[in-house]
Amino acid sequence: MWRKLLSLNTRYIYLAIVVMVVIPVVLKVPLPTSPSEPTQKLFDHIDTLEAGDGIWFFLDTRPATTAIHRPQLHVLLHHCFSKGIKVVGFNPLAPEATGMGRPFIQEIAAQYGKQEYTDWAYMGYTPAGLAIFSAMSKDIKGLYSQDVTGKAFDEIPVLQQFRKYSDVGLVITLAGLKTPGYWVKYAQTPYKFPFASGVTGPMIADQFPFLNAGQMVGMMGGILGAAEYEGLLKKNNIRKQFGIASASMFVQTVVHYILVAIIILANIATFIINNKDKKERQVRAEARAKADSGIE
Amino acid sequence: MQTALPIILCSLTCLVLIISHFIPHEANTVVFSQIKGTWYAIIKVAGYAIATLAVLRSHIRRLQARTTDWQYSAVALVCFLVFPLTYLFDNIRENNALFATTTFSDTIDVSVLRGATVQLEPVAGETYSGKVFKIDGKKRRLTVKLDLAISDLGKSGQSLRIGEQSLQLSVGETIIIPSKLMVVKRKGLFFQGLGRPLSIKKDGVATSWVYDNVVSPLDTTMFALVAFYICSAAYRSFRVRNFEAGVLLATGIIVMLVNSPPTSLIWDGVFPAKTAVDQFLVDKALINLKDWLLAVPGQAASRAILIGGALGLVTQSLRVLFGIERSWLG
Repeated sequence: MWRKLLSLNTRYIYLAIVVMVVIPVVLKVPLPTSPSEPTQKLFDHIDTLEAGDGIWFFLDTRPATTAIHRPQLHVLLHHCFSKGIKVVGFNPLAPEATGMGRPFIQEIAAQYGKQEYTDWAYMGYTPAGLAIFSAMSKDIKGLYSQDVTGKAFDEIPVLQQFRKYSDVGLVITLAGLKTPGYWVKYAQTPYKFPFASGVTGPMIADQFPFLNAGQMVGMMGGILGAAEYEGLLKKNNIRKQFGIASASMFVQTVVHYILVAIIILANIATFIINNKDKKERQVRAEARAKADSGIE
Repeated sequence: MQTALPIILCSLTCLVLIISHFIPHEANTVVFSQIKGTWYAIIKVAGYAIATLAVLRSHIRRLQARTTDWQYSAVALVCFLVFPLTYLFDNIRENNALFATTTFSDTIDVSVLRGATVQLEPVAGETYSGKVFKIDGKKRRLTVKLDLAISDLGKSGQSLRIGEQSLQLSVGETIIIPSKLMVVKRKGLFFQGLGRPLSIKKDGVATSWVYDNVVSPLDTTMFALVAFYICSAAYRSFRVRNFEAGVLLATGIIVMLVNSPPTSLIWDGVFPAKTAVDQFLVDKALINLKDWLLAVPGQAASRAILIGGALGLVTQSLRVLFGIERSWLG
């Protein structure tokens, strides 16, 4: 039985995951979370900003991580727009993210009546590579002549206020690539500005050296980070309901529990089989020894 | 020479970057930062061009030779060409618009007009907005690209039509009354938009469609499939074979469980906290353990990797700078 379990066809595992994921996706039951310290610090930092201040966000990712970075950006935008903070987005390190930023902002801006160009703007990609880190300390006009809609830089009022790191209250990278490390090394350390990150689950552990060294003011880790931020928005009466991130926690929980269960099950099966094999080997060895002694 | 020249160029570039970074003289910060930025952009763009040609050449060769799995090369080539073609399609579509041409007097400053949004007012009817598209300073001639779609021309309430007509043009407070009738034309400017910074414009219908309905779902699907592979791989190969594997497994399970909100609820139900000490040691024991695992052992490992990687990078950079490392030459 245990051997059969270990040699289970992969398709059954896939089927089990599909069924267990689809049900919570359909049900969309939000699961409240307790905020972790990095998420709390990020929330507190944005909360200290005042109406008219600005933040820059960078989508250093690909559409693959939309399920994580869309909720992360949404909770940030809810917080910023509710406080009258202005937002400018970029994706200079990931050309694949060009189509992501503007629709993400539009969804939330419409809820708060925020206008493109005056309250927010999305600049998209520019082929400058790592040179952006130093160029953005002087003036972003040197990198961008227009935004993603083709509107000239000089005609976008929100850009005239926030042209370099020192003009904004926070720079945050929503990263699916190894860019938070570059940001710390090439931008935050030499130019000293409040910096934070929103990363995918596997990248969380890499951010702790920067968080503990004070190079990052906070962090949102994976979909859980976004759910924690949603919880903080609700707790502080900024939003009345939980959003997509808290609903996604149900799916994540189910998958995590399945993963833990199958790992434990597979280890129990291996342990039992190994013990059984060991006993059988011992019995065979004893029988052989008996047979050998009989021959002698 | 084939080897020496690239090595000299590479070493010089490395030196410029080192000087610009470590010697904080004004000349360095201004001049070298400019050089650094411009050089990087040129190299990056040249890199894109070479990479594009290399990918095309590689797949065309595979197709010609009909090597194993050549069908994938055909698919790759089609995908490789579709996205630029949609961009070109959008470009043509975007530039197939209504343009109004007029002259302006010597008193008007050209800089006011450059890239400005203007209003066109016929004698009667609606006001039309547009953007200054082209200025001929010598002939004092101005071309405006109208925001009005060609398909909307001639609809009720609109007095604008193709051909000559009397229109007043205003740029903010400045009003330009042309001496001659203004000419409105429909033009399809094929290459006018090329050369602008890479961007998916809001009127880039085809590009946006391909991005939203093909690129994004495919990329997201590939990422989502990882969950299935992780579950399958964990089931088949995550075994406690020794003490280290046991520690790794226990750590992974704790982090996964604590990252799931119901775990805390179940924990709190099983071990209710009565005092403040209980709250730290019992109520939040799991969360504290997870945070400790990430912030102490996890951070120590991350720092070791960071510092080790940085030292390796310095060593490798010095080898490149002194021309000892030549593998990058190919």
